[in-house]
Amino acid sequence: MKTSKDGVITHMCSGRTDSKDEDSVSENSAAADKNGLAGGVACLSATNNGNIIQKRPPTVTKKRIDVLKWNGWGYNDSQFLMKNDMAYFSGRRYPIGDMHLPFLVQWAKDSVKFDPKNNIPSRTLPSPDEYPKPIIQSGVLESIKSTGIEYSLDGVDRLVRAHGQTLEDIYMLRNGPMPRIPDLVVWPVCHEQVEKLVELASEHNFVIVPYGGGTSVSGAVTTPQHESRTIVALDTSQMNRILWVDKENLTICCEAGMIGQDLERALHEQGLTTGHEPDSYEFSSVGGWVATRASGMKKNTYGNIEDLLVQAKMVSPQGTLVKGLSHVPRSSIGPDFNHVILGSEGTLGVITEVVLKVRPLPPCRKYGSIVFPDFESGVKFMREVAKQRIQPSSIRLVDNEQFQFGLALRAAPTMFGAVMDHIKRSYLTVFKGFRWNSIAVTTLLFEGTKEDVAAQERKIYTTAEQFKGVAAGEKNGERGYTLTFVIAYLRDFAIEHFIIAESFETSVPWDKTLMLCRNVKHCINEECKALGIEHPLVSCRVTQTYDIGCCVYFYFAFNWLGKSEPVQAFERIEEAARDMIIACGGSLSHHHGVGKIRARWYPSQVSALGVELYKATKQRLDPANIFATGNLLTPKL
Amino acid sequence: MVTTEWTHSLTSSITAISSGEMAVLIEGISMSKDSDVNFSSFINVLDERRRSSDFMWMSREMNPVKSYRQNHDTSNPYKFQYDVLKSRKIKKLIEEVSKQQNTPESQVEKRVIDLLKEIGHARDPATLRLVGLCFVKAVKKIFDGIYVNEDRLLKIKQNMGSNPVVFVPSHRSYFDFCIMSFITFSYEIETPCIAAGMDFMSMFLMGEILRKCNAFYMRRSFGDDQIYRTVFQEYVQHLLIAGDLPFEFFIEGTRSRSSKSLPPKFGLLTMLLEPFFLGEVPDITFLPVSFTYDHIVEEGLFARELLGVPKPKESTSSLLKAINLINEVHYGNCYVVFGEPISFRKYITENLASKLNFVHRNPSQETSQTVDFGHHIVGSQQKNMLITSFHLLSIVVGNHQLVDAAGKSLQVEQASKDVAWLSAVLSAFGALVQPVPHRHAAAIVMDAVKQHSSVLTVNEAGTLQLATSAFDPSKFTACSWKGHQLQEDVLRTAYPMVVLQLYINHCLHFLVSPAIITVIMQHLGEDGRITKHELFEKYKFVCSLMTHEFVFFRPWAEKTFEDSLLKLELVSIVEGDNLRLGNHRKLQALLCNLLYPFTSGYLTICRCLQTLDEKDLWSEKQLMTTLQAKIEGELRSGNLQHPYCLSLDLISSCIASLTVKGVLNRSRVNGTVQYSVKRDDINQVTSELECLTVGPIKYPFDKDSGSLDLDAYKALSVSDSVAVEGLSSKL
Ligand SMILES: Cc1cc2nc3c(=O)[nH]c(=O)nc-3n(C[C@H](O)[C@H](O)[C@H](O)COP(=O)(O)OP(=O)(O)OC[C@H]3O[C@@H](n4cnc5c(N)ncnc54)[C@H](O)[C@@H]3O)c2cc1C
Repeated sequence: MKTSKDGVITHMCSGRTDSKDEDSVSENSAAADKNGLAGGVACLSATNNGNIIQKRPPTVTKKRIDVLKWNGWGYNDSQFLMKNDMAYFSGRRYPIGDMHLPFLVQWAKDSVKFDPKNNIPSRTLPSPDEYPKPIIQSGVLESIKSTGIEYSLDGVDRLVRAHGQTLEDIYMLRNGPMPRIPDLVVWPVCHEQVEKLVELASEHNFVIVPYGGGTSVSGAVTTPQHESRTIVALDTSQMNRILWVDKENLTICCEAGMIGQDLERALHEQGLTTGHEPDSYEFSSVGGWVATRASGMKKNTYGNIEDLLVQAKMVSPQGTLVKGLSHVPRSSIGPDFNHVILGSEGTLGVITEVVLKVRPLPPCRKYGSIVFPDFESGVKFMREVAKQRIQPSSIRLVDNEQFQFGLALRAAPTMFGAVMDHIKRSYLTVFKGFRWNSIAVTTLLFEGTKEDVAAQERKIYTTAEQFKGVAAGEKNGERGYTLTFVIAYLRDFAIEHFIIAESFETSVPWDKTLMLCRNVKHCINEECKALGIEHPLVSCRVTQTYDIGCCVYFYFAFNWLGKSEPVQAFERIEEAARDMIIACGGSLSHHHGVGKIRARWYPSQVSALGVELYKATKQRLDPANIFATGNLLTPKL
Repeated sequence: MVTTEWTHSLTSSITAISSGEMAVLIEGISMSKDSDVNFSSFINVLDERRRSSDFMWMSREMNPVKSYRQNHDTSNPYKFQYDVLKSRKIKKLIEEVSKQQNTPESQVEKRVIDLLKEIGHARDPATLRLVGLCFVKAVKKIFDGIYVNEDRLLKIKQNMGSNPVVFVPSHRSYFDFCIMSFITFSYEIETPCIAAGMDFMSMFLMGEILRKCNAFYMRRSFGDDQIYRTVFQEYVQHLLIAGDLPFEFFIEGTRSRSSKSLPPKFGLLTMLLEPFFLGEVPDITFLPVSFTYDHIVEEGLFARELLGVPKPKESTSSLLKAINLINEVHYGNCYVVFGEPISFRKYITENLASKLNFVHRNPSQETSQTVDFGHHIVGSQQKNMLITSFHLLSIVVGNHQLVDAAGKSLQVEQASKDVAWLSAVLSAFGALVQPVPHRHAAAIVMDAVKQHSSVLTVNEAGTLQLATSAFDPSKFTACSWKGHQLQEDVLRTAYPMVVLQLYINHCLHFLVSPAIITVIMQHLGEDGRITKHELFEKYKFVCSLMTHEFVFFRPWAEKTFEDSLLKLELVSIVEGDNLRLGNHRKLQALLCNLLYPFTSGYLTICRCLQTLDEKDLWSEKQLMTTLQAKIEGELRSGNLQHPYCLSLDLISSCIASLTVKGVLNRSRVNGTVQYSVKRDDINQVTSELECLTVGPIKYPFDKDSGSLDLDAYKALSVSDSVAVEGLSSKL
């Protein structure tokens, strides 16, 4: 360990000793020069009492398109399709994999005038000569080569790292004109290589955009369009080792490029879990989570990323920032610099290594669901649950539109199932006086020992009764959670049939929750009306509860057949909706981050002095604006 | 020529035109600029009622459209009252009052319950249908037609459901709200909850029946009654937030006795807007509705009230009597024009360009937005007020009486020509006018006269005459007068003129600003020129003086002024950069004469005030009586020509403006309001007014009847391109 001349504490990092990846390296990329990086294990702490977990090849390879869609979400083999006039989900990775979904098309017809005949196919993967020529400043390539860090100038490699997962990103890939994409992709394998790259960037004045899982939905990872310098996409995916595990203190140290599913798989083998499960955790990275202040579904038990984070290392052009010398549960040592790293959205440096809390895997896991006569009662119930602090690992409330949608994702019922469905339905509507068109549903996930779970269940279900809630069984709850990962695939299917679908989120105090939901829905409907869009589908759900408020997620979809410029229309609607959210006392973002698409609201959210404080930090850590991602503050052109 | 165009579109129409066929005339001609209403969509809702069984119609099965779809059941009005009682605000109120007054909560709660009973509507569809049936029977006898711009209404209906809807009709007659409910019933829209005055509540049976037809009651003044205010406010807001019926209220606060638009009242409006400012409703859609009657059923009552003749108390029996009376008279049509719906959210975000924030509210901004919005609604109502043949005829006859009463009599033929001319001129001014083609003008005028035989008749010689016999003032002499007790002969001649003035007043909002400008120009010296700036200063002075007479909203003064100038330029009343009067003498004279009753009335009042001692204190009634007596004297001596100056409405408006201007001192002594005069100030105002008032301008209307068509043509051919040129030459 050494102290740099800036007084920032940095650590000597050793290169990686593990064997070369099985992945084939693209033509242009140079093989890593392992020679210069001898011996030892990277660590954040002098007192490493854990053991190294053997590194496995990452699920997502350097050639991303071998595994993932180049123009949409998720695995190549998994997608919604039309098959025999019925919706069908391909692949065998998910619970509805290789299944027909007989109700989906009808639902989509009713709600957004979906028509399978109207089809707008994506362009095919551009041929090599269709990519913009990389802008490479003189000397850049030579000096990168000299470090031995792998790189690529290949068009596809650059294109797939030019974007995240916003609607604009996906529409651009499928149908838009070719935008500015990174000029070069690099794959450092450890902290020290990152330090080298950042040094080179300062020397040659090129731009670095850290790229983790590429799941950003804020435009944060999207290539800045007005940058004239060489843009290097720094793909962290090869920094994917768990460096140590400390079972005594229940902490681990891992590299920032590790993606959620790989991390969890490795930890499960040790009987551990981080419990951090954002809906994107199959593909998003640890570094991305820290850089965007991500939130996981089970935060009630495990906490959000800021609660899980013990320490993070960030390489900035002025040195490496890391907080604290040892891994203490909490400290009172002035402002907490972890919070400079958290939410920095790639604008201050590259996060390379992270120490996280972990928990033993729970012995028992159980789902549940409760039906409420309407969304209002559901919200009141959620509020009560938060007041009593009796949240299980996850508790979510979906409105009627999503409830109906959930039903539409059923596979064909068996004869017996259909009868049961009918009975359940009449029980609610006839005996309980619920209206089918206003029912709202809470889904629950309990974790812990058997006794814990039983106790939690008791509290939840008795509280629900006060709000006219009726328990609706484990199955419904389970479906709610397992379908979570499938829903992300729906947008590609929709977009192919002239339907724009997107989601956005906010956090809001309890007393403003219903008001916000009502006004935002109304606002979207009105904006659509003004744009001549008929039948938009607007839906919301409460996905997290806190002492003082909750996180609300909105989904909306509309049919743009016969209209041009769907992305502009969408952006206008989203802007109006965001203004409305803020007018109703909601936040700019609960977990997606600011990125580029919400940057115009950032100053009003943090105050003028806040902006100055951020700017001063940026000026200190990155005076030459190497990390010119354009996030948080809209750059002056 | 325009006349031939008209005849073209009218080839199918028959020679004698009854008002029932007016729709045919109206059809296909739309030249209005201010109003965006499409004439061709006017439908007589009574036509269908005359064709099929009323009973079947009233008892038909229907599924009326709700204004704001709710997730809960809203059908029970008593449950609704209970919810209000149990609301957070009322709970808090009860706790507070009980603590303050040291009374048990149950007792306060009882008071609240009583108030809720007093206020509450008691929706009962069966009663509504029954009342509706009786109403339809009656209304078919009273009116020839009830015309509605159906396309707009259907669009409104189609867009209902996502937020509260508030109908805001103009208020000219008791029939307004009945007809509103009749129309909503016809078009299968939920019957609105109507804010009704307490005078109805106290009427035997009527009070309860109206409740069942969704009326709820509002006290005229809330005084310092905190409990009442809170309960009423919560009731109203609950109707918006948790109810699904449209809301209806009269923004003018009361029936306009003078037929002029009244300035908006802000009490109820403020209550309605609060849920929006709090984010409790996502938006509120306001629907301005403009009522126009060929013949206002209450015209006689209004005229008497304006003159100060005592008003009988509203009671069920007098209402029935009134209805009986109605049977003998021919009341023509009622026109109900639905204006463009106004989203309050859009109004403040787009028109007023302010950012919404439901969390950090800005009370002073909200207040100014409310005031602005109130005027916007009244403005929208005015835009769509229809001007019918009788309104036009009233202007022509009124003008004739003013300048030529002793001289030549007014022949129907001449009046018809003038009516046709005026119709064209007013359309060019942007008003929504019943077109009067020259060819049919006489028939139209005769028909209008027939509807108003109580004030206007035609003798065998074809001369138009004011009827003086219909009004028997002796009946009233014994009662207690509101102002000065007028002489019988004065009353007799005043009455028909005041009635006519009601119909003139109905159109004045279109004309008052152009008229003020013309009057100012008329009084320029030799040179006859004035800069725009000077003109605007004088214009603002007159506006400030008549700010209670007409609806002037100060922040909009400049825009109104510019608009009016543009209009005047188009009809060559003013011209040039350094403005001067153009050669359209006839219209100039008419505009000046239209303003004459007001300027001369105000001048007379000011002169009278000059004679008062500064030390004397006057109660409002004393002052009014003195002034009215003085005006009567001036009329008799021939110094004053127009009997409308006797109007107590005019006198009290003048007093109010002078008070605002600081010319009159208003103070409260032992609870009663007292006035005193400030001599210097009154002298100043009087001399300014003197520079603006002369006797009526005589212009021989028939002198150049050849040029009349030309005038009409000129007015009509004002195309948009000319308007644009006019504008750009200004820039
Ligand atoms: C279907 C779907 C579901 C989602 N669900 C959730 C959810 O439940 N909860 C949630 O919080 N988010 C969710 N997200 C948003 C997204 O997954 C998160 O923002 C995630 O944290 C991004 O991680 P990433 O590795 O993909 O980062 P990227 O998209 O690669 O990058 C995001 C930002 O972080 C920066 N960055 C990435 N890695 C580093 C690093 N090592 N050092 C410095 N900066 C870096 C990038 O420059 C960029 O600015 C969802 C997204 C999708 C598409």
